[in-house]
Amino acid sequence: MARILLVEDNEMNLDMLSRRLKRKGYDVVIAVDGEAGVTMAASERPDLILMDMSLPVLDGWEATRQLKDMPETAAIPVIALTSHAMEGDREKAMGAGCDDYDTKPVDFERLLVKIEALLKKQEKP
Amino acid sequence: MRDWLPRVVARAPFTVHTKLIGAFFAIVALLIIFGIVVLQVLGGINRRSEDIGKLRRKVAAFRQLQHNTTNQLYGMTTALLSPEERMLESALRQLHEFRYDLERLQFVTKDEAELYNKIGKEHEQLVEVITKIVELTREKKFARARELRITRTVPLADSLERLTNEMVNRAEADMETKIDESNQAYLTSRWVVIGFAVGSIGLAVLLGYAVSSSLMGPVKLMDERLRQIALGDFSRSVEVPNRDELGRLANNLNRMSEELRDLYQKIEAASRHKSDFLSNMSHELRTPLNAIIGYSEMLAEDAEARDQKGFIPDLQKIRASGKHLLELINDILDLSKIEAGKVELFPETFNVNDLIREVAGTVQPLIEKNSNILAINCDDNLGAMYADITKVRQILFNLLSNACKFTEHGTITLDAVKDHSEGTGWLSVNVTDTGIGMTEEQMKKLFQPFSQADIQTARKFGGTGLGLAITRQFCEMMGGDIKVRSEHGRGTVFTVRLPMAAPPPKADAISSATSGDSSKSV
Repeated sequence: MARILLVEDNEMNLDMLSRRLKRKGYDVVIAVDGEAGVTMAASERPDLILMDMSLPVLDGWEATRQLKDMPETAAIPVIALTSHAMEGDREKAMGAGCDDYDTKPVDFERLLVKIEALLKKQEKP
Repeated sequence: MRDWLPRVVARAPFTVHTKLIGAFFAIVALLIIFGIVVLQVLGGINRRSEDIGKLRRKVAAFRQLQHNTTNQLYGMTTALLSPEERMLESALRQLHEFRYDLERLQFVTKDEAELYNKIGKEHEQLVEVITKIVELTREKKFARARELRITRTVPLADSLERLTNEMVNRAEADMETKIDESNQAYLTSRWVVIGFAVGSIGLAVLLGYAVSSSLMGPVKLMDERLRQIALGDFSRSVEVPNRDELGRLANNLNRMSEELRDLYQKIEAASRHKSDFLSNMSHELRTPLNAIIGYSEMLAEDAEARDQKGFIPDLQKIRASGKHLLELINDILDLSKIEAGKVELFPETFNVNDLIREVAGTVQPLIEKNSNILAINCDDNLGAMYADITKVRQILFNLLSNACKFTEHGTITLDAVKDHSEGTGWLSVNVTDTGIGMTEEQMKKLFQPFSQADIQTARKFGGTGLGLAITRQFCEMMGGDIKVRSEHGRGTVFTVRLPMAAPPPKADAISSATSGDSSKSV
């Protein structure tokens, strides 16, 4: 089953999302700040990363930029999660190298569709 | 350097009125002085020509005297040669005629008094001698008379002739001098008049230039400054040297500019604080909402999995309330962003038919909720549109969900046509429902934020009352418009018109859209 790295600092969001993803059968690994996220991505080699944007130590945009700069993690698709839903956030996230974008609170069904789409795209080439 | 004079006039501590009156009187004074100078010059010329006329008459009189003198002396001398009484009488008469001539000249010979007196004296002597000769001749003392005639008469006559000649010469020389003087004086006066004319004109022009420049310069500066202020530039101030009304005007202008700048900064800060507050608040509210919605969803899933379905309706109510709260927060945030001018358009090319299908799919649960039917009548080839797809989607979704909210057991129809009338064409969408409709009164407040038709409506139908305000602002941002037709109890038609190709975003569309003046055709 696909392995998903969830980078999120809010305890409840982390708990909810990881439990629901596990229930759907994904293998979930977690990190609670941007720096840990980058380290985990390099060591755990997940199939997809769910990245919160407002993170301590290293924010989501910077973490994504670093991931996309490293050859071993560059290919891993990243879905940005932001709680602001501000106009331009989507562009900012895409500009940092994210592959997709969703707002919090997450619509779990919609998020699953996005995850599946990216995973499928990943298998093809 | 050229501007020192206007500057001096500007700095003069008098009112504009005083300056204008002063300049006017200065020019009038110049005119008067010029007139006086011309009159004096003319008077001088007249006086001189009168003098010359007098001299000319004097010369003529002197010439006459000289001529007469020569004739008389000659005649007299001849007459004395004869002893006849008739001739002697004639000589004496001529002598008296000469006296008469001389006396007649007295009024013109003031200048030549010495010469005149000399002539007078010599004439008296001549009279004396001739009288003597005549007496001697009558007494027949011819030899004595002849001797006297030769020794006394001839030299006296010669002297008289010489003196009258000299008088004529002197008068002629006088006249020559006067004519020369007059010519010279005319030349001088001409230059004086020309000089005064040129000077006056120059002074008047200079005065006019200085006064008008000192007034118009500041007016132009202030006009330019006001134009900048109108464009929102409060950073500069206008500097004018004037110490008159214009100077005060400029000071007031600068004060106004500063006040406006302060006010503008305060408003900007307040607006920023409001936006920041809304943004932060919405973030803080979303975090707990996140948990409420997420955990209620999870509990519902758990209940389903463990076959404890009794909990599900309650859990769904928690979730629905959470979602509603979220919707409210999102709408408030959206509207505040639009009002702060923070919303930008991100146009892209998309297929209109695909978008309509997608929105119809999204709205389907809402349609079914009130047992409505959705009918879609649109051309199959609406083609590609270049616009911000997110906002077009939201417009369509808002209109459809709005129609669902106010219609039960009815039909909601979406008509879409492409209208080629102007430019790149327009997408025209009608959303028609058979719901409760609106009264005139309700339609007036329709597009204003937080104004659902009335409080009862809001309680009954839910919603934030922000949807249509946001929809209208999006339409206007994209260069389109929205109109509504409605009949109370019969239904409502919303018509949206959007350009098929997005024009560059208009900054003023946002501010005018917030004024709450909705365009309706009923």
